[in-house]
Amino acid sequence: MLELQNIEKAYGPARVLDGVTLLARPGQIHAVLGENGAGKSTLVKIAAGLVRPDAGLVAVNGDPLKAFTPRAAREAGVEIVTQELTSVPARTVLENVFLGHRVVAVGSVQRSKHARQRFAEVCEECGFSLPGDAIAADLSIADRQILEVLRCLIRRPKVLILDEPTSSLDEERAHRLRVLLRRLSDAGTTVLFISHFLNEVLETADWVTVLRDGRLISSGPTEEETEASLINKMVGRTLSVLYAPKTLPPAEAETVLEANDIWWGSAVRGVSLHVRRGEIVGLAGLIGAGRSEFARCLVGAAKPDRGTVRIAGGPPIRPRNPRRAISAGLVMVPEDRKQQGLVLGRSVAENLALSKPQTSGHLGFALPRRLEDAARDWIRRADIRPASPAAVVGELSGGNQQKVLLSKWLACGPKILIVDEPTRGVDVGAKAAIHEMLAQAAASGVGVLLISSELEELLGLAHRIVVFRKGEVVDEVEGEASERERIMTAAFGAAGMGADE
Amino acid sequence: MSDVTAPEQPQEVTPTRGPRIRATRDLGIVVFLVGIFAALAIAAPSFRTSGNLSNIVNQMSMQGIAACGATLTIVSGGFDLSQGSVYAFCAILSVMLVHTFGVLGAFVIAVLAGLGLGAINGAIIALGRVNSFIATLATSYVFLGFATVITQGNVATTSNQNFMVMNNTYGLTVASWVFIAIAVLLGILLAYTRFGRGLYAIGGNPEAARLSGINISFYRIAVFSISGACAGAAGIIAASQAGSADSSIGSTLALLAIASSVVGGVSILGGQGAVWRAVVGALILELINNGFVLLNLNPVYEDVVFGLLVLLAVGMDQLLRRRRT
Ligand SMILES: Nc1ncnc2c1ncn2[C@@H]1O[C@H](COP(=O)(O)OP(=O)(O)OP(=O)(O)O)[C@@H](O)[C@H]1O
Ligand SMILES: [Mg+2]
Repeated sequence: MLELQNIEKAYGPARVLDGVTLLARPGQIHAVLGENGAGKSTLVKIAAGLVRPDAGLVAVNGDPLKAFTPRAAREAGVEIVTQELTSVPARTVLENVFLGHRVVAVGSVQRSKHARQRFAEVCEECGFSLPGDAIAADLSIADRQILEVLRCLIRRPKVLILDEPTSSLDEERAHRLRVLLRRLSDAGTTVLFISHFLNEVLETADWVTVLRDGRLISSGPTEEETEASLINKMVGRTLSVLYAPKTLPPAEAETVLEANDIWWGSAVRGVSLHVRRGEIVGLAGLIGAGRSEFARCLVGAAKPDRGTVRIAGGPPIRPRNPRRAISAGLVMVPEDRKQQGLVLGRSVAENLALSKPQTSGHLGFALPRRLEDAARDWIRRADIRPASPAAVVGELSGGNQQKVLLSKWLACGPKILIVDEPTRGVDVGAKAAIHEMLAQAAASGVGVLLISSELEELLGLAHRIVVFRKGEVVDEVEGEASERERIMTAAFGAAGMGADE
Repeated sequence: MSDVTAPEQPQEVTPTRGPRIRATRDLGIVVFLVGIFAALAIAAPSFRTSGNLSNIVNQMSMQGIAACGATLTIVSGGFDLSQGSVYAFCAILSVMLVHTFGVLGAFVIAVLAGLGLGAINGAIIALGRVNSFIATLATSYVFLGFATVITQGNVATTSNQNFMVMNNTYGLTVASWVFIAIAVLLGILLAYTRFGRGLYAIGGNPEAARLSGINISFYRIAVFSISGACAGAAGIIAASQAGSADSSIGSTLALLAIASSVVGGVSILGGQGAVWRAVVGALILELINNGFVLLNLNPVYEDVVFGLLVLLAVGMDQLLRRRRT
């Protein structure tokens, strides 16, 4: 049982949590909902001893935590999977899983039979397995998420907290994780999770707590809620989450991006496709199907082994570095905002200005005031909160960081926009806003290539959907809801649903 | 529980948050500087004389110039440990060339040599993908070797009177003015230009910077060239003040420059800092030095005090930064 009583927290003058009380019982899956910046992550970090509250009490099974340190929380049986990945990239899966664990007193975890056995047991129990000797940095973002879950489970927690655990998983892995949570909960673990997927919350959770602006809005059984009632509580008004009808590009719209037989290692195997002006092309597939790698090849973030790209009617080129693509009008919003997207220690204004074409040369003046003025416009359009251009990006909530990332690239005025998981971790309202931004960009003539693990998002936005499997294009369909089954079948291949890759 | 339009509220208060926090962050080290200044002014009457104050600026000009260059490298996520060797090399070069090329010619060639050595560092780091700490540690030996070779292990001297530009102009020495000019120039470069923004981005997150279309190799080479040129300029000043130079003169410079930046509050992790911080840091270190002389303290303890004050300054800065979280 996890109890949080009257938790208060402020960062400087900004009140983040204002007397929040929450009770999560064993045998019950407890979901926490709220807009971006509502204070959800801060709340669960306090429960796990990662952040010290200004006031309030945290108790596990009735015993208050001795101190607000990760160690005290861990000793009390609380484990957390944080929103941002925290594995050590250069070390192996095993070393990461046993980081700070006492299983091996001296010597290498890698060589400990006991550690390996324990790891195998946990993998077996939870239905996810990872190669113990793989280097964490080489794993896909989904596998790194699974790694974090394994790292918690190895300690057999009494309270397991997961902050947006499914945001970087594909539908199949997300489903397996939900099954796992149910099993843990039935076995008596207290499970608390944060999610922006309302259907997931309604399906999985027994109890749901809604926060808004750091205050508790409601806490009650999930049966009493509907998607609409939850949205109303989260944003304080009703909101349509339906996709607007698509504007089709004119039939004679010219091709703005043409990829020809792109190869990259074993991840991308001879992919060709084209995007027309004003068209949104969706890339469907499982995580690890090579969609992100393909996109990285297009902009030159990775150098393809073979193949050419034609940007905006230019000559076919072999992409070498992102600079060339950007100046030709091809930009990519990367999937990993923390590693690849943002300079976390700098301000919103500076991040927004980062990728603007370097027209005035290196010595061009970039006065902070002018950057901030330029940023205000985007802050308003993308509804970035807090609405301060000088705010340090690393201190924004996850969803707001995502909005900064997207705005940064839209601010360059691209001709072709590649977006890789653009709504990862954003709340319902912001998600609708981002969808609107993408649809608008397309309507104004930008060619959009959309990678998403959410089939709904692809079906709702894309005019055409290209399906990837194991680095190859296996199917191409119209973006119609009726194509759902066909896309799934193509993505999973002949082996059918449930098979792991 | 029932306020319906709540999301609008916090936006009204927050816009001033960033700048205000920045102001308190800045304060720490400046308060420390003013503290030392006041303490010395009270304890040693001779401290306040204009002669002593201008002497302080003159004394610190060499490490100050080096520290300004070091700040740019540190902000961009690197270290330049070869500054001391470049300093010695350029000092020797200027002394040796003054016969043939005259004072101005010797100075220009020596600064260009510093720039060139820095560019070599930058090229090794950017194109060879070598960690800057290791690369400049290695080149610091190589460059020092060059310096020893051209003097054949001797002290290079000159009797050219014009070479010793010690004369005061508007109350400060030429060296001091050069230092001030470089500090202002690099300060503007880092804080107000696109180039400067790029350095912060590279230091903060190199991968994000690369994907944003920033030419990282160019920036690395440029920043190490600037660092080398700064070390060269500092070396020339040292040579001109002494009228001689040998290969041992720069042995402490690189670490002193890094220490100045760090004391001033430049983050060694990269991505944070400013040139004025390096100036404040260098000034604090110089004041400690000056205090020992004026107060007739036993110089044996100077290094200990020096180290402790560095810790104190950094600790105080950390404390002020942490308080807001
Ligand atoms: N270290 C920090 N310094 C200053 N402000 C912070 C810090 N961490 C969080 N905040 C602020 O606290 C508020 C709540 O952040 P939190 O991360 O808890 O939101 P969240 O509900 O998890 O949002 P999301 O759904 O986007 O992840 C935000 O306004 C954020 O800017
Ligand atoms: Mg969060």
